This record gives sequence, structure tokens and C-alpha cells, in this order.
Amino acid sequence: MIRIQNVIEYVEHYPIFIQVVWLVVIGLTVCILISVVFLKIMRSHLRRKENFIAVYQKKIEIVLIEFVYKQYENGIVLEEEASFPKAIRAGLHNRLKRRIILDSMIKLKAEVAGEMAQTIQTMFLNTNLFDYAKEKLQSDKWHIVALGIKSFTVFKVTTVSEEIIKHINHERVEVRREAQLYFVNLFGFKGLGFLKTLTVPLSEWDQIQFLAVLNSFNDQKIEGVEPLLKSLNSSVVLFVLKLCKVYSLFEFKTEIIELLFHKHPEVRVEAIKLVSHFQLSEAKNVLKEVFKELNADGKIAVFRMMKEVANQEDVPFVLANIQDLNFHIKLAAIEILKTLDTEKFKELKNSIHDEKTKEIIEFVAYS
Amino acid sequence: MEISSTEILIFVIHFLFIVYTVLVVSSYVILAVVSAKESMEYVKKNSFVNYNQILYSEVAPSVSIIAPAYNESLNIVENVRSLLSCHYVSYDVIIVNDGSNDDSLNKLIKAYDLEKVDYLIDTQIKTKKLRRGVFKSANPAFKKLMVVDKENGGKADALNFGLNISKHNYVACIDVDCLLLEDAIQKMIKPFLEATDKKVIASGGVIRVANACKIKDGKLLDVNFPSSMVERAQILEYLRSFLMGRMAWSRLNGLLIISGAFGMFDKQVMIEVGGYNTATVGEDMEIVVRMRKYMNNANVPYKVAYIPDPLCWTEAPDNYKTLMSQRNRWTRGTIETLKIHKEIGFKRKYKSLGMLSYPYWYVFERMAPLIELAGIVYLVFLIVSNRIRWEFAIVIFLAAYLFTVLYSLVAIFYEEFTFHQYKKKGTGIKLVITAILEPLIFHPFILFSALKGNIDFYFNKNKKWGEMTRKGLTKESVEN
Repeated sequence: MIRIQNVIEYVEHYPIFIQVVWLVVIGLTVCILISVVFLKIMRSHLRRKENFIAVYQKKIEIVLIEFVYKQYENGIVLEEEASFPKAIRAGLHNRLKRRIILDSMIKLKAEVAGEMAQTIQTMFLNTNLFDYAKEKLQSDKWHIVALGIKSFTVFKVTTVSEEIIKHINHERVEVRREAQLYFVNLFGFKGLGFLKTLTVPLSEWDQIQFLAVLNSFNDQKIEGVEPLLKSLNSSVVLFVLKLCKVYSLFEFKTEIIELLFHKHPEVRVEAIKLVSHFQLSEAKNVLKEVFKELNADGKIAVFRMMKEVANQEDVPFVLANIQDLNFHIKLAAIEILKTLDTEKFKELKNSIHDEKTKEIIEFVAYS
Repeated sequence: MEISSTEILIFVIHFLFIVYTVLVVSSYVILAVVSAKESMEYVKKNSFVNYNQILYSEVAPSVSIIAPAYNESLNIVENVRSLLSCHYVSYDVIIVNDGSNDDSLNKLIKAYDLEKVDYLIDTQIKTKKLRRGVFKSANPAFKKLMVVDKENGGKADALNFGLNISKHNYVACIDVDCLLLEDAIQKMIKPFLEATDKKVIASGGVIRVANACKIKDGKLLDVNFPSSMVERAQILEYLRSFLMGRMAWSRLNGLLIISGAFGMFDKQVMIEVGGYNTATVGEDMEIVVRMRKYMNNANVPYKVAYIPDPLCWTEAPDNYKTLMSQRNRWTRGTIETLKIHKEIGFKRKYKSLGMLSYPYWYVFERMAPLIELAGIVYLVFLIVSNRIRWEFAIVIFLAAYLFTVLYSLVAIFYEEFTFHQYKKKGTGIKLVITAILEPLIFHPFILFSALKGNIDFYFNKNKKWGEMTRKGLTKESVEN
């Protein structure tokens, strides 16, 4: 039998580099063996956990549904924790079970309304779920804070708004997004008040989320738009321009036209697009004046608008831009010319020699 | 004691091999640590995302899915159906039939009631001409579909045609034979919409191996682990590459490649750089490098994003012949791209692209097979000249082998902790066995293909894509 001492003595005769490599080999072998065992344990654990979650979730869902319907039939909403189903009370002290209970409550809340939804909300408020969520707001970990805010959003808890407003400009985008969504979800258009103090940018994604949430509110009274259109945060201005478009806020046309001169090019382009969408013909001459200073997107937006509002007096402007190198501007200019002045269009058709423009003219002529 | 020049040379060679090995191992360890951090962060971040709200948004941007097709008659109707079933508010599907000489087009015309339409194309990138024209469906159910029939010009040319014809700001370029999950577009568009301080120019997705998976009507029903070593090893390879390598590079904003099988791009930037390069077989890598270089030159802050969710499933080669042809092409693509953009390397002006990504790819991807070959040649030399010390050689080989196995095991852990796709009992041990056997059975073929790719690059310039036989994803397979 080879003794370990003999092996060590044998290896000691090797150069130091080879000794190190031997140590690495031993280390790697141990790591591999541990990994394989751990992988086996972990996969079994994951499978068991998945099965447990599936079974427990089903059980909790049944208990919840029965309880909620029973409350509804009795016409009362019990507020004491002691009156809640035993299975739920027992599970509230275990982290995994609590998470499953919370998820099941969220799922059920999305499917029911009125008193039944009220019952679920009461359960949230009168169990330790509320306290846990509130504790999460004080956490140092960003995702825990975000989770806490999310719970309050789902269960429409308005009493914590003072706490949540502190996170509106949080350095982590996920936290501030949850905080912003909390206000939009709970207070609708009134909840947009946080935009006044917003110093961080709103992404397109955030804006889409807000608009989707706002769409679900019946009360669509929008207040305080005017100062937001003058916000120093250009992403706020961009969002409000979207609001104006979606909710057809024509009354702010003066402010929108002022935005055609905004320092931020993206705001200018969006303002042009909105002016075009609203067909604000009073902005036409302003746009023609600043046309040369616009970027390609802005110019395309102007021509899209011109397609709707152009008249005979715009023919020289259109003709001046027919040779623009941008395909979309050229196409729009030719289409407008065809509509406004058939004679000039025919003249153009006969005088143009470059192949690209000719192709567009042919296409427009027969479309 | 006198030292001969041969001994000095041997010492230098040993030193160089050791330095290279230490660098490779260190870089792998760093990438593994970075990717672990990024993966955990992604899972946490993603748990807060509500994708439903973009599904009905009237302000969400529109996307064009561009799928080039060449002789895909076998599955084209099914594959297009899968693309038309994506869950996204506004998108169209542009199938570019790249001069196929089978009945792909006729099958599509029949299946989707296609009619030829007059269509004005903004030819911003030069491509081969239209053949039979542009087709749209008369059936409103398929109004998202557009089929373009053009002369054969290769995959890059077909993609460029798709870029010309697309009317939207974002394009998803995919292989028509890939299976996209329904939520793929909403997940891929998110990085573009979330960015506020940097412009996202591209977003890459993970490619998963669909072999042996149960697929019906363009939908993935069940994930299975295939039975053959060549397919199993590729699954492991893809896990290492996508969950560890690319995830880490994404964190470092150093991604040089977005798989040609599935990626989303800012169309304007693609057009400004001139579209896909038709002169390379690595067009997917080349365009990302060119776009990054363009943004660096323009001094615009940018990012190439990466979505690790298993959104795109593809059929991997199920035999060594096809695999070697594919890897040969990948090697040539890498060499071509690095050669085309050699001015980037070690230039501070190009920041992480020039100082980190390019050198890494050059030293550890492009040179790796050559250095491995040099190692084998040197080993043979030592054996023949009777200078080998087997007790040293064996322990060094063991260390390298065990590190490879451990690295694969770490990739399996990442998969288990994040997406946990291979859930079935018994698959874990199969993955471990694959990790143990792969370096001995699979890797030699990969090395040979890479070396052949090098030879073809220098001595067989006319070689293009090579053979890539597909059997199709619609067959239902059941795990052994």
C-alpha cells in the first residue's frame, strides 16, 4: 500500500512548479467531486421545491378562493388575523410559504373585484405581510426595497406614500420605477405629480408602462400638464407630449408649438410629430422657417405633416426639397406635389433624369 | 554549469506556454465571476418587469423581423407560422427568399395567399436585384407577412435587402429555421427602450439547442436532452458560451458578436455603417464590430445589450461532418472580422473595444487553435527527441483537463440557478458525463475544424458557407 508520506516525499523531489501543478490537480479534483455531489443535491432540491411550490400553491389558492367567496356570501369582511384560514396563518411565518401566499393573493386579486378584492386587501393589511413589506422599504438591498414597494402597489396601500416618495429619484432604476409606478397605479393622473420633482430621466420603457396603467383609469381628468411641458427634465417633456397625443390634449397647442424650439433635438422632433398629428396648420410657417436647421427625423416629420396640411402656397417649399437626398422626404415631397399641382408634377416627371427620383415619380404617378 | 542554446530555447517555449495558460485560465475565471454577478443581477431585475404592458401600447416602437431563406422548403411554412405568432404589439415579418431553387416561394404563396404587390424600396444598401418581386398576403390574418423573392446573393445580401425594405426603426435578424419563443420580441426590445444615458445599438439573444426537444406547430412543448454525444456536447458548449462568456462580456460592454441566428438592431445605425458585409462568412460578428467602431468614432456613448433568457432555439448539427463545416466557417468568420478591423486592436480611442474585446478575441479565440497545435507539435517533438518527462506532462495535462471539466460544471450550475431548462430526472448526470467526456471526444473535432478553417482562410479563399444540412425542428422527439 502506498503511504501518503511516501507520495509526499516523492513529489517533493519535483521542481516547485510541478508541485504547484500537483496541488492544483488535487484542488480541481476535490472541487469537481464536490460540484458533482452538490449538483445532484441541488437538482433534487430544485425538483422537490418546484413540486412543493406547485402543491402548496394549489392548496393555498383553494383555501383563499373558499375564504373569499365565503366572506362575500356572508356579506362581511373579517379584519382580525385570527379569522383568516388556518393554512394561511400557519404559512405566514415561513419565507417560502409567505411568498407563495402573497403570489396567490396577487393572482386572485387580479381576477376578482369589489368586495372580494377588498377581502384580499384586508388580509394583506391585517397580517404580517404588511409589516414585512414595510420592513422591506428600509432594506439596504435595492431589490428588497423594490419588492416592498411592489407589494404596496398591488394591494393599493396609500398610507405608505410618504415613505415611497423618498425613492422617486433612487439611484437604482428598478427601485425608482417601482416607486413611480406606485403613484401612477394608485392615484392615476393625480399620481403624476412626482414628475415635477423628478431629476432622473424617464426611459421609453417607463413611459410605456405609465401610459398603460393610466389607460385603465376611468377618471381621465388631466391636470398640471402646462408646467410639465416646460420641465427642465426633457424626458418628462417627452412623456407629456405622449400624454397629449394619446389623450388629444389640443388645449396645449401653444405650449407644444413653443417646443418646436426646444434645445433638445428629440423634444423638437416629437413636438413636430405631435403638431403633425394634430394638424396644427398655424405651426406650418414656423416649421418651414426652421426646416433647414432640423435633423433628418425632424424634416421627415415636417413633410408628414405637410402631406395633411399643405396648400398651393407651399408648392415652392415642396419643390425646393424634391431633390433632398433623404428617400422619405423626397417621396413625401413628390406625393404632395402630385396632390397640389398636377401640372408641376408632370413638368417634374419630364425633366428629372436621375434614376432614383424617376423611380419614385413613376411609383407615385401610378399609385 | 553550461546551458546549451537548445535548453534555453526549450525554457523559453515552456515559459511562453505557461504564460499563455495562466492568462487563459485567469480570463476564464474572471469571466465566470463577472457573469455570475451579472446573471444574479439579471434574474433579480427581471423579476420586476411587466412585459404585458408593452403588448397593448400604442406608443411601443414597431419591429421588423427579417429572415433570409435559401432552399428552406422543408419547414418554411411552419417556421413562418412560428414567426407570425410572436406576442408583440406592432411588428412585421419579412422573409427574404434569397434565390432559392426549390419550391419555398410557391409553398409560401399557397399557404399564405400571397399576391405580388408594387413596392417602392429605399435602396440604401446595394443588393442583388428582385427576382419575382414582393409578395403580401390577401388574407388579413397574415397582414404582417411580406415575402421578397430576390436573386441569390448570400445571407448578408438577403439581410441587407430586408433592411432596405423594412419601414421600422428596429429590426430583428433571425435564421428562418430557428424557433422563436412568443415573448422573444418584447424581451429583446426592452434594452433599447430602457436606455437613457447610452444608445443601445444592438441586443443579442441566447441561442439554445432544440435537438430532441418536442416542438409542435412552431411551439416548444418540452425540453429534452439529446442522446448523441455531438449534440450533448454542443448543449454544454452553448451553455458555457452564452451563460458565461457573453453574459460577462455584456457586463463589460465588450460584446463583439451577436449570433446571426437571433439579434435585434437599431436599423439606422446598421444602414449608416453600410449594412452586412457580403464578403465575409462571419457577417454577424463583422457588423457588430463595425457598428461599435462607428459609434466609437462618432464619440456617442453606446451599448450592445444581451438578453440571457432562452428565447431562440435552433437545430444544432447532429453529425460531425456538418459540425466541422459549421465550425470551419465560424473560424474563417472570426479571422476575417479581426483582419478587416485590425486597426481597432490596442487603440485607446476604441476604449473597451480596442483595449479589451479585440485583444481578447485575437489572443484567446483567434490564436487559441494555433497555440494548441503548437503545443501538440511540441509534445510530439519532446517524445521523438526523448526529452519528455512523462510525470510532468501527465500532471500538466491533468490540470488542464480538470480545469475544463470544472468550467463546464460551473456553466451547468449557472443554468440550474438561472433558467433551469433541463429539469428531467437523470439529465443532471448526463450533463456531468458530457462535461467529463467532451474535452476528450468532442474537442478534437472542434480543434481540427478550427485548424482547417485557418488553412481554408489562407489557401482556399473561394470557400464560402460550406454544407449545412438541416433535418427540421418540427419532428417530435422524446428523450431517451
